[in-house]
This record gives sequence, C-alpha cells and structure tokens, in this order.
Amino acid sequence: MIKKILHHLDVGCLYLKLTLQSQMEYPMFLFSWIISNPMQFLVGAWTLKALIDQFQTINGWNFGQVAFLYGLGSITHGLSIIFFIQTWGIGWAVTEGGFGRYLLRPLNVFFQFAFSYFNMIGITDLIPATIVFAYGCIQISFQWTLINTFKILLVIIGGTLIRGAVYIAVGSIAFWTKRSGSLITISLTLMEKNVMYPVSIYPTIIQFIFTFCVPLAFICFYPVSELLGMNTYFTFPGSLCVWTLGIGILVYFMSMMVFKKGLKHYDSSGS
Amino acid sequence: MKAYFYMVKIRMQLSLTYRFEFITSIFVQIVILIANSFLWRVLYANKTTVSGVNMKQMLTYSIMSVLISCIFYYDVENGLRSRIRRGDIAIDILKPINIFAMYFFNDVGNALNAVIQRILPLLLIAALFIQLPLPASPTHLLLFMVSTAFSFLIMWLMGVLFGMINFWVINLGPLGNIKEMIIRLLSGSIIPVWFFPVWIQKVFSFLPFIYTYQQPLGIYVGKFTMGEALFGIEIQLMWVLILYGGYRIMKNRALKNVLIQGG
Repeated sequence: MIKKILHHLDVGCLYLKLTLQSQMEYPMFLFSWIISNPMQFLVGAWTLKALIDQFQTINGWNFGQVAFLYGLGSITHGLSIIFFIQTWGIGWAVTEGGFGRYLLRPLNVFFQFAFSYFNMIGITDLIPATIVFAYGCIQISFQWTLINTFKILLVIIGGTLIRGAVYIAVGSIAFWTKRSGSLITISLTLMEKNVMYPVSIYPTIIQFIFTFCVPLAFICFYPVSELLGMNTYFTFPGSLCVWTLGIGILVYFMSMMVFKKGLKHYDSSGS
Repeated sequence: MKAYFYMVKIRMQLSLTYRFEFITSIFVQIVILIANSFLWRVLYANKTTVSGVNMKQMLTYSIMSVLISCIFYYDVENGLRSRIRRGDIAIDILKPINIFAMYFFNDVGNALNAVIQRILPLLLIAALFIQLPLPASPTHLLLFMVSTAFSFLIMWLMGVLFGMINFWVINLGPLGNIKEMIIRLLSGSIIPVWFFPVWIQKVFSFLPFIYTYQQPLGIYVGKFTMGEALFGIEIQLMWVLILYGGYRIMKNRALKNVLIQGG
C-alpha cells in the first residue's frame, strides 16, 4: 500500500517536472499571460471599487468585504487552473485519441489524467488574487486568529475542489458529445458571477439553484458570509467553512464517478 | 465498412456540436445579461440617479452592450493569424482584389448574420425578463446607429492592425487576448467609464477604447446631450481616420514582408 502511494507520488513529481520544463519552452506565451491575467484581476477589482465609490455598497457589502470575497474566490480559481485545467481538453483528447495512451499504461487513468499536467500559468491568477484578498483583509481588519486561519484554509481547499469537480464533470460530457469547450465557458461565467458579487444580489430562485443544485455559492459566498458576519437567505447548521470543504470533497468524488462512467463510453476515434 | 460509418458518425456529431456551440454561446450571453441586470437593480435599490443616469437607463445600457457586442465579433484578426501561419495568405495575395477589403466584407456579413441569429433572440429575452431597451428618442436612435457603425470600423481596424503584427512575428499568441481584455474592461462595455473618477475619464477620452462601446450606448440611453453626442461621433471619425492611416502604412510594409512558411 505504502509502496503504491510512493509510486503515485513519484509519477506525480515527474509529471510536475516535465510540465514545468515544457512551459518554459515558450517564454513569449508565458509572458503575455503574466501580463494579461494579473491585469484582468486588478482592473476587475478596480472597477468594483469605482462602482462601490459611486453606489456606497453592493447589497450591504462595502468594498473591503467585496475585495475579500473576490480575492478569496479568485485564489481558488488560480489553484483550480493549476490543478484542473487539463479537464478543459477532454474533448480534444477524445477526438484525437489521447486517452488511448493513458489506457495502455499500467496506472489508474483518472490519476494519470488528473496529475499529468500542472498549469503554472495559474500562478499569474494566484498572485493578483492574493493581493486583492490581502487588500480586503486590511480594509475590514480581518482577525487572523488560529481558528480563522484554519477556516480560510478549509475554504481554499473546498472551493478549489468544487471548481475542479465542475470542470471534471463538465469536461467529461465530452466523452458523449466529443466537445465540451463551450460548456466550460458557461461554467467559468457562472463561477465568476458567483465570486465577484455576493450571491445575495440574485433572486431567491437563483440563490436556491446555486446552493442546492450547482453549489457554486459554496466556493466562497457562504463561507465568506460567515467569516464577515453577513446574513444569507439560506442558513445551515454548523460552520459554513466546514460545509464548503465537505461539499467540495463530495462533488469531487461525484465528478470522478462521472469521469469513470464517461471513460467506459470512450472509444478511441483518433490514431 | 464499419470503420467508415464510424467516421461518418463522428463527423455528424461534430457538426451537431457546432449548433451546440452556438446555443451555449448564446446561453453565456443570456447569463451575463441577466446577472448584470440584477447587479444594477441592487446597486440602484435606494437611489434614483447616479452620475446623471437612472436605473432604467442603466439597464438599457447593459442590455444594449451585450447586443452590440454580437456584431463586434470579427474574423479578421484570427483569420490573418491562421492564414499567415499556414501560408494560405499567399493564395489570397494572388487574387486580383484587395484582400483586406475581402476580409472586411466577410466581417460585415458576419455582423449582419449576428443581427438575425443573436441580437433578435437576445433582445426578445431581455424584453421578456428585464425590460424593453428603448432609446431616449428617435433622434438618439439614429445617432446611435451612426455611432455604432463607427464603433464597428474602429474595432475592425484595431483587429486588422493587431492581425497584421503576425506578418512579422508569425504567431502573436495570446497577445490578442490582452487586447480583447483591455477593450472589454476599458471600453465601458461592462461598467461605463463615467462612474470612474474624473481624472481617469480624462485619460480615457484620449484613448480609442471608450469610443467603441460607451459612445454609442451613452447616446442610446440619452446620457449625452446632442452636442456631446455629435462631438463624440466626430472623435470617432477621427479615430477611424487615424487607424485607417496606420492600416495603410502597415499594409504596405506587411505585404513586402510576407514570409511564406509552407503553403
């Protein structure tokens, strides 16, 4: 058992090394992401600030609170880009027969797929997200007690897992339809709309959907509401940060099942 | 035989996904449309006017922004990139017509197509679920249409200038994305620049970006007085001329510089 885990770790590290090397090969490509991604977040935060300066609050949330929400939500976005971006390409791997290669190797296919690629470009999301988050923390003078730090950690892990689960599940649809790129765009748009503004601006029915059907509101709206003491329409017993982690783990395993089901449906069509 | 039928099946599935892609891309725009409308409703909850604009005008603004973004979708930039990379550009140059005029009318066709395929359904949904985005007056509507035509030219010329960089670097990569993003954020397509501090508005008035979205939309909702509207359209015309001049200079140099790889 331990030997098996060590073997998986070994393979994972090798994949990490390989992807790092291959991404360094195109510096120009990397360079333009290094400029464009941070700009997107910082300008995004800046437009939020301009709006809130004009309108005072977004549904009772001031700029510090919104920056806290947006920053924390974007940190999980950056992490999900690092760990899960390969799921965006399932459609491509299906039509080009890329899975044939995975299936031939004597290692769990899901593991290979999930850990064969680490997208370092995600760091360019992570850094500006952390800056916006830190700004929010200072603005609202967030108390970094032991318990709060622990809660933030739970939210980051849980939020990343929820995002990853959505990507895996949506990406796996490509096993049936051969393409799922545009569905990924929909998921990204929906996530952005769940992270940039508090979900409480939407009518109850939409809040219900984002809570119980597609739990995107758990990525950061619910846990941040708890940390900042904001009211939410739907209430849950216990800590919402723990809920985020729990839901993250649950949906991650559910998405893994969708992936495995899809893989059974896979018939190599490329060469 | 089975293998060949399988190829047919894959092709059919792929072509079906084009329709699927179309439906999902419309769906994304509907999501943006509706989410933005709730944002503005919440922001205006206890206010009548902010920066001289009321909620009704702002909702119209955000609806029309999504609608006109449909016609600002053009092929020329990515088209040039792929044609230069694959060497197809050589065949285009051999044709006895101005290839850029060809690309331009191709994109005009796309824009007209978008009016029927995208704008009408989106308008219907906006009218049903948000509000009917009416112009401030018939005169404003007319000026809006003139201004939007200029916006289209500005956007298209910027696309061409960016696309032509590929003649020198062969593959621009995601630099094009940076341009798209700057336009999206700084053009007032999401949040009008008049909500920003005055000094930023000053800086932006010297850049072409706000003359793509904010100018026509501001006219449509009646934010600008007639004088401001006409002055804005003059500036749009000026930008068209500047960008056209840039295009002429770059075009002559680019065509001398054609380096065909493959093809």
